[in-house]
Amino acid sequence: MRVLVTTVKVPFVYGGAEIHAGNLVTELRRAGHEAELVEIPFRWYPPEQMLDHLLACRLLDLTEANGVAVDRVIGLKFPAYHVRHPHKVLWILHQHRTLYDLWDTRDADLAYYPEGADIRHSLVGIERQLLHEARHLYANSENVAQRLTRFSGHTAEPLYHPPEHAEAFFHKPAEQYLFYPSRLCGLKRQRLVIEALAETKAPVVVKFAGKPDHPDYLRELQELARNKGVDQRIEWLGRISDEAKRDHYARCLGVVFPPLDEDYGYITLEAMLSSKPVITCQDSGGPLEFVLDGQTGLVAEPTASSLAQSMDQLWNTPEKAQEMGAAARDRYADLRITWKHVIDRLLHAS
Amino acid sequence: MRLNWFSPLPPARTDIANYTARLLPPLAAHAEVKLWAPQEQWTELQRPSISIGNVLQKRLPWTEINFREFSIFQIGNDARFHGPLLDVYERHGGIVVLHDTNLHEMQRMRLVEGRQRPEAYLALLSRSGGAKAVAVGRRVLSGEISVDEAAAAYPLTDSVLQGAHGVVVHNPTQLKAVATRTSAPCLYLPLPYLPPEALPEPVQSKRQAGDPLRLILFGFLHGTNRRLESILQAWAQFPQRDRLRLTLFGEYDQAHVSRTLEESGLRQYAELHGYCSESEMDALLSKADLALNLRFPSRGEASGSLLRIWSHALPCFVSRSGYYAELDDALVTKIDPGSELIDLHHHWSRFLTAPEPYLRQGSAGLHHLKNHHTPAAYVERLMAFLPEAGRYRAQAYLERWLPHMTQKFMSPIPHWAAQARWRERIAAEVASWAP
Repeated sequence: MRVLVTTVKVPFVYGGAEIHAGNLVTELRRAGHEAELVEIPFRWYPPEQMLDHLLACRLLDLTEANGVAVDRVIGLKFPAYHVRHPHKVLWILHQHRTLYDLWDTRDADLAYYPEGADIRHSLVGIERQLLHEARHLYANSENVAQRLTRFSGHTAEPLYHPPEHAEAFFHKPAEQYLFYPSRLCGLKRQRLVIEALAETKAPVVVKFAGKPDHPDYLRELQELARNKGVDQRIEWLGRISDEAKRDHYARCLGVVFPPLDEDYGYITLEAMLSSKPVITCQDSGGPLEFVLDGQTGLVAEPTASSLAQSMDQLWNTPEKAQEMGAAARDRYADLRITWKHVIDRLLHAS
Repeated sequence: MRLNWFSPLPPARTDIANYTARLLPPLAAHAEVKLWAPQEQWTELQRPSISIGNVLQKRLPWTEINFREFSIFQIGNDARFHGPLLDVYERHGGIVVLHDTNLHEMQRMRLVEGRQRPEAYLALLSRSGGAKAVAVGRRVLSGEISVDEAAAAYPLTDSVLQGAHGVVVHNPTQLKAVATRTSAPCLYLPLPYLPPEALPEPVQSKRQAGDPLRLILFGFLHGTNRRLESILQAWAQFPQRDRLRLTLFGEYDQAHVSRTLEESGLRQYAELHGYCSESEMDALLSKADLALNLRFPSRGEASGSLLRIWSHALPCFVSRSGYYAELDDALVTKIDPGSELIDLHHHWSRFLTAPEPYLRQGSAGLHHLKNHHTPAAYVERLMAFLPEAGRYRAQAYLERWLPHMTQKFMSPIPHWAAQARWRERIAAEVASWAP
């Protein structure tokens, strides 16, 4: 089949969504299809730009290329997943979150504009309508599927996929630190981890890996750690290579990953592949689909004190941590998270 | 439910401020209300649950405004109060309550005198009526014709309809007219007054045969539409003129009126007051026999003044025009604008000799007020309307965005025909987004 994968691209930004889109194309090719990635530049501010970009996507004709039909379009992100095509399926990484679950929070950048609420209403209404065009709706996770139902009234099938280089993760005996690899930004809540660290009774150590979305944010976190008196128990690794990341996963006692309403969360899966337990929070979204509280990790309340209690528990019972890590690896195997399954579902949707 | 309510507040010299004050108790029972006023000071409210902000501040807290489900804007014809509200409305969108449908004078004051941007005023006219309307606007700017004359031809109601989530009018005759000019849901609501239990005790005229007839005229009396000059002229020419007394209060050129009365020898029969508080207004109305509430040309307004007049069971003369023409004849006496002087003389004479039919109208007016103009009923119907307006909101923004967007992207395309084709294609695409 000739397949186009449509997504948006913020120039000079490269993260999980870009990796995911690239992997999908690679796996489609590996399965014997002709596949191309169509990346449409996207800017969401000022907010009327979102409508301009949506219109631009709608005016594109992807039904054929060079006189040969395009058999399938797989849409991943707003507004690129709204391109017209008679055989389009959507595999939604997430909707534009400030229109939906992040509205009414301080992260809703849209709400800082006078016309923000009006534009939100328009786009929510439009999206509800345009989603009918897809032959089938898939979501990156159960969490994303639930949001789609809640906000847009559509049902999507969750379709899990493996993290990049899933086969390369490995396991080593645990050392005395918790690992948190992620972009440094508000939604990932590194701040909450630092506050929790200040409330632990055990001398818990946390290694953060990842680049800040904004340099000021790292400075703020470091200042918070100093003010809380825990800067000596934190290591800031910055951006690290994939190999170093896998090594840290392999050697850590466990992974702490308490984001706010994460869509999917490779970190959980990578920890499971490394046979490590994950500490997450009740409002963390995607990770909750994989972490079984007390069996493959710990689920805390989203407060510093509750998170501290879970960190202490893992720190003080390394044998139990090891046991939960092994259970996590088994659970990953049970879930049959493979690209073959993903591609079968995407291309053979009715 | 959380809502933003944009309105002048007491002590602003507009009855729309009093209207909002009257609605607050039932509003607060239905919703968490944030008031936004075009002023820096206001009379303290007795309701601590309602917070107030002013729209004149340099940086409005948009998140606070945006996170409330509905925004309701009170739009009247005085740019001093409604200009700043309209500035917010144009950027934010919302439900508009049209206290007047003729917004020409307000827009002229706002754009020409306020912003010193006559070209913006002419642009509004261009959108309303093309080159012909612009020519009329230029004549207004040069003083060749009056604003009233231009307003009659180009009321500029459309200037607030584009992008409205919903439109509320207080004048049933305007409902159809407005509904034909917007796809937004429209609603007629009778203007609210005080709840029946809060009405002042009406004192019907204790006037004896032979006593002079005490007329009263009040409100914002600048311009020609309140007919002040015509009334003074009719009085001067009335054969039994020394049997009339006149009380005036509100906003008008007091020196000019005083001079006119001096010239016609009537000054000693007139009592002139400036702006009055609500209690002062009620005190003056309780001493009157007959209210004059003429409006011509109609600006599409309903009249808060009429409700106040009825609250005193006071007979009232109105113009046979606009909203007033539709009122039941049992409630008011209608004066034909084409024979205003003759009609006024006729009814004054009759009132002097046989007041009973007029007094019955006053009583019927009070009864009507108690049954049709309660704040509680107003708020209930408004709340029932909000979901419909909320559903239209998704489309309302597209109405604002589409012309702006096509202008932005089409202007580089040189050939008008190509532009037209693109416009059609884009319009068709956007139309397909609607549910």
